Amino acid sequence: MIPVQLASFFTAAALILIGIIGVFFIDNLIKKVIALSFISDGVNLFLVTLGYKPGGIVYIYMPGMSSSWFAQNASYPLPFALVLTSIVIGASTLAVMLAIIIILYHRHGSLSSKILED
Amino acid sequence: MKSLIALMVILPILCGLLLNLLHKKDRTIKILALTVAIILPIIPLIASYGAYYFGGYPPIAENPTIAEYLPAYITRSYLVKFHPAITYIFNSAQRIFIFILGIVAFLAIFTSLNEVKKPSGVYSFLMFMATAAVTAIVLADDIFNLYVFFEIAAISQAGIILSSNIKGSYKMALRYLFLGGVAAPMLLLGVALLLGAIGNVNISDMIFAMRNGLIDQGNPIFLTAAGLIIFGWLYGSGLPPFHTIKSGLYSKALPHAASLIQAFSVFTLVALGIIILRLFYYIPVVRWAIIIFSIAGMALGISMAIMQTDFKRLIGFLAVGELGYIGIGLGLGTTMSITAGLFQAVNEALVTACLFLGFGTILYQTGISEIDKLGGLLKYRPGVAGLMILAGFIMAGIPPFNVFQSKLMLIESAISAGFPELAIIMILLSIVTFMTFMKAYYSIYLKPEPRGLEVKAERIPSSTIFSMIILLVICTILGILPQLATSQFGSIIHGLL
Amino acid sequence: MTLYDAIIEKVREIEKKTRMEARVTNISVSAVLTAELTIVSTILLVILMIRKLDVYIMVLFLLLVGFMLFSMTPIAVILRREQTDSFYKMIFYVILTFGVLITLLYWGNINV
Repeated sequence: MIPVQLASFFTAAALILIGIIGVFFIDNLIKKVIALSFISDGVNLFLVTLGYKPGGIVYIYMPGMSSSWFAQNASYPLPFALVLTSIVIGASTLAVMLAIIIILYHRHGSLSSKILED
Repeated sequence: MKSLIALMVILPILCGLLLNLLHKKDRTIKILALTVAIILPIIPLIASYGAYYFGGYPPIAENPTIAEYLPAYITRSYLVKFHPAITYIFNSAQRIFIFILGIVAFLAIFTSLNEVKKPSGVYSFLMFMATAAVTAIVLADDIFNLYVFFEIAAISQAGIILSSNIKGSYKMALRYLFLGGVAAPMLLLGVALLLGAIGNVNISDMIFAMRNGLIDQGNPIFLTAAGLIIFGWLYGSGLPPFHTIKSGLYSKALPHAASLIQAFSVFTLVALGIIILRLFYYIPVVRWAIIIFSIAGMALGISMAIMQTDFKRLIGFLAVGELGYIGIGLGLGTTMSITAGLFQAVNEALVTACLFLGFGTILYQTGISEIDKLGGLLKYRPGVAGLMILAGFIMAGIPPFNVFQSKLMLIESAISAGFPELAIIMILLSIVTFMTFMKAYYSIYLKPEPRGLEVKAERIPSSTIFSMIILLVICTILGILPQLATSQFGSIIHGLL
Repeated sequence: MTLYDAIIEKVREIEKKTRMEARVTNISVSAVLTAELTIVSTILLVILMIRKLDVYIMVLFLLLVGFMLFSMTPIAVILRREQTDSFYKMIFYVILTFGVLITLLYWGNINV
């Protein structure tokens, strides 16, 4: 069995690659946006995986824990904090893109990326 | 007054949010926006140098009350030097960058409020938001915070383009966001690789860990991270392959917005470029990559500019092409070349803003941007034409103006670094820049007026002329007294080399 | 056919293809010519910088690229065709550059 962390890294790489290929080859604009969200999700997964610790505990210091035991077993909190911010930013970018696509659809009556060609 | 450092970012964000709420209350918007816009360049002048820690947590070494309660194995380790808080560093170099950014932002907002009859709160909100984001990029010593503001700047710029109401602006904004959707996650991936290798996102701490042998500097992860961060840098600054989208972005923005957006590109290039140099100065291939992309940006940008028939696009490509000079200064990596590159950044932000505003007056008068359909405009407003040719002279590097000083320094530093070829390329492209500008100038002002050319508005808003004059005056002052700017960069370069 | 004729012909061809309204004027031809010379001389000057690695490789490159450049004229027109607002072309060059950058940096020696 592959370790969880390694498997997650591979998944992240696969997501990024699928996203790049999708942005390049898929014609439909909304599908392009989905491909872009694949890229950012891949990167987010990569960040989360960095903080993973096999057999680790949640990084919340509860009463009664010895501080050295906590320091040895808690997973690394920084990547999780970063991922939250990154997800929020990604969501807002996607929202702006989708809003523009709606307007372009009303103007051109098409979701094909050919409208971005001229 | 350390809290003023945080105020440089917080004030424009706060003002922007208020403006958004006050939409349609025209008078209030005008007064509030102008007041805050005037304050923006003043804050960096009165703020004192130092570091600002968000949440108020300085490193343990500077905080004896916390250090008292910690066991000795922590207080004796290097951990006490690490920064637990998001840190902003404000020094003399940051002061001049934020001052110039504030000036350009003030003039752009001032012009926009005077050119339109009904000021839009949402539009001013976007301009303030992007200004705050780029200020934070210049100040941040935390690479993840930098990424966050990098994205905010990109979204706000797309918003500015969307609200310009020029044909094709929606498509251009969508293209920009799509390309950003590929490039910005790559920057984040570079940050993540650094975080994985070092375990911290504070740039000073990363450098401390790399230089003091806590981490193996030869780890190939650093090369990949450098590549990914350089890719994000290319997107933020608009060097190739992003030069087409960046010049398109300038051409789809209103003139005052374009003058602001190009300043964003310049300062993003400088801030991220310095961070790349700080982190990866010891890897020569990184500096080579910076030089190669800068030359490509110069050659492609300027040679594309001269072939354009639309003056908005022409000046957009020219603005992208001139960025290459800054990149070469940073890439050469000597004290003199970095000083020259940073000085060139300051100059370029000023003079390109002036050119965008000047070409905006033609659009305001005629509503036409194809140079073939224009001509003979000299007789309508010879004063503005005079200001324009002055701006063109400054951009091409004619003495005694500021760009002459910085380009001369760049050429000298390229020769003394052992790259006379670079000096020749820079001289050659300066000449072509001048030729490009003269081509546009001749076609618009000097060529006989074509039949059927309709000049709708003979009057040009005096705020635009005022803004151009202010920018040209600063350019002249910096040209006569270049040490006003160049002496400010010592702190940043001392930390680099 | 001289270089000038070749360039004029290409300019006409491209303008017909993109259906641009602009006519072929003195200014537009001299602009394309300037761009052509700028690009060729910049590329040749950049190749001179390879001498920092090896002089012989530089000479080889200079001959090779010089020959390629002059057989491919007019380059400026090709570049102009490639750098339009087409999203497909933009993303193609972005991904190409990304690939080249990462490959070169990853396989490049850390001490080069």
